[in-house]
Amino acid sequence: MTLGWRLFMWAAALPVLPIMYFVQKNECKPKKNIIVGVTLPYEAQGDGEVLALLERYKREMKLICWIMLAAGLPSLFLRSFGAFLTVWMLWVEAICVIFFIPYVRCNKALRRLKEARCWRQREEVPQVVTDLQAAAEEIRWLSPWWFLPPFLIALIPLFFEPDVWWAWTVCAVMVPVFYLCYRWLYRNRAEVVDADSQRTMALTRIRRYNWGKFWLVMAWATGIFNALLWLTLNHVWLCMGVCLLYGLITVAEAVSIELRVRRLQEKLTADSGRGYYVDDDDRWLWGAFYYNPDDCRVIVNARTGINATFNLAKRPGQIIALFLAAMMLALPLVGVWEMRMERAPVELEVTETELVGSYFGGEWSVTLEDIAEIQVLPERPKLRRVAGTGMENALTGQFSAEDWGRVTVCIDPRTGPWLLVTAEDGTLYLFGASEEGAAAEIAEAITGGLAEAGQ
Amino acid sequence: MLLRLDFSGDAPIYQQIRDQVVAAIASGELRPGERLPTIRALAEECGINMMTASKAYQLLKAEGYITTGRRDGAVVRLPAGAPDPRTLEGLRLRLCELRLAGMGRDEVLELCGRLYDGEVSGK
Repeated sequence: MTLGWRLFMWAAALPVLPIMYFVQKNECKPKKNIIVGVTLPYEAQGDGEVLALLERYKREMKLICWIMLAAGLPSLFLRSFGAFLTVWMLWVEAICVIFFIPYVRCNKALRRLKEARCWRQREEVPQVVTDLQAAAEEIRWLSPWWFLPPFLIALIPLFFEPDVWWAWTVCAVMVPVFYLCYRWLYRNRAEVVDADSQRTMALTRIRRYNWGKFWLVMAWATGIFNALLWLTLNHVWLCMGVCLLYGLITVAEAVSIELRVRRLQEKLTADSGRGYYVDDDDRWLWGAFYYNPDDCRVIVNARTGINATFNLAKRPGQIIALFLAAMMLALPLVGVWEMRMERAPVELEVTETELVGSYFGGEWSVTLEDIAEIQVLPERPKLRRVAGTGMENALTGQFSAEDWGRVTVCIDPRTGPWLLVTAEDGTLYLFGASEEGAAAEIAEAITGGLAEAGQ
Repeated sequence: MLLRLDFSGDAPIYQQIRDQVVAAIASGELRPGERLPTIRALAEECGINMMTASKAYQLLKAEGYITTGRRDGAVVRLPAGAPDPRTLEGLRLRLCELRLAGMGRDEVLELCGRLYDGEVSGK
């Protein structure tokens, strides 16, 4: 794996660090009377001790930023793709999780301070507060027609490049999936902060509007991305640029919408918390994980911003949370898998009836009877992957070559020669082996056998 | 109007909803003609079962505090005519309890007057 690729991947993950920093730092600003997951009355929000705790929280996060930036650098010196991928994924996951440590520390300190200074409405606060006027407001959903054009755009490549129909289809199907997410993942819960119904309704509308906007932009970005991917398919770097651009646009959109909603929540609730205000801290573990056995909902609105979270008191919520945690833990294993693939050789052998190329459990074969011609190629032809594996030590699966068109490949691109096998029906196979010269010997054996059979 | 449900209390949730809606109509916080959330929206808002929300609305409808229609959902109304016999029976029982607690007629009437005025002024 070249340094260029490693730098590319490192740079692609780097924005996660400032994003996490700024999103977590944003928790210090009071929104809906909540600071770092703790509900505080108006007079407590500017208290000296509270501000000191927030300053400490920010300092700790800055320190983490520098540590994580330095921690990512050693991965650049790993030559093996598998090793790089493992370290890179662990690094990205650590960035996503590590900011939670100062968050929890600050949350706990604020809670202790809240108890000590009696900043709670324990006696007055019931367990669930609902604003009937806000709840009665009718929801105006976005029409599904808005999602149709990006779906059609995403389908365009299907007509021009049907060979990789599955890739285009997967991408295109994401558009209706986004519509379903928009329609069914939204929690129709009013943003009750205090007794002011107008404020509650304004906050609810902001959340609803931005929720629709997020999924609509995602749908359009995905549709256009699919079309651009098809247009740049033959230009590797352009193609990578399109992928990077898609990633940047979607992440930038998600972050900007989240921060915009938070900013509006902050503005609209700036003078709240003076009289009665909603305090449901008891249902949030560490201010971030919802746990309420009395609530029959599995998915609930996150406390601030636009996001949603799970009710960990419900079995489905626990299963989903465990599944997501397991997925996160398992991601670096992809790199370990890659490392095993890097070490696996490409083998070529002739049985009594077949010529078989094998790599990492997969086999590609042609029966000897079907072989019409074998050419030994000292130079590796230029190939474009259609479907299969493309590694430094192995190319397997369906590829496309400029002069021949579609070809089934099982080769080690580093060691030649390579065998171009033409079957009776015109199908082309390109075989090779990791062992130097093995392919040439096998070619000789087969052509000798074919010649004998001809005599 | 803020609906405050106490899941740890003895009163069933549908009863809490019914009582608070009635109290809000009496205090003028909910006015006749005002729309209430649909059963689905109320259940979603409170994190309760749809059946619980439906039961609260059925109770309110039977007592004449709301009307329900296909198009408008639930709408607040003032009950017509004399109070429900069950209400009078409940009141009689409470008066018995106050008498047994040692309160005289004048004391009970004064207490009722204070509570009534408090409800009217919304305190």
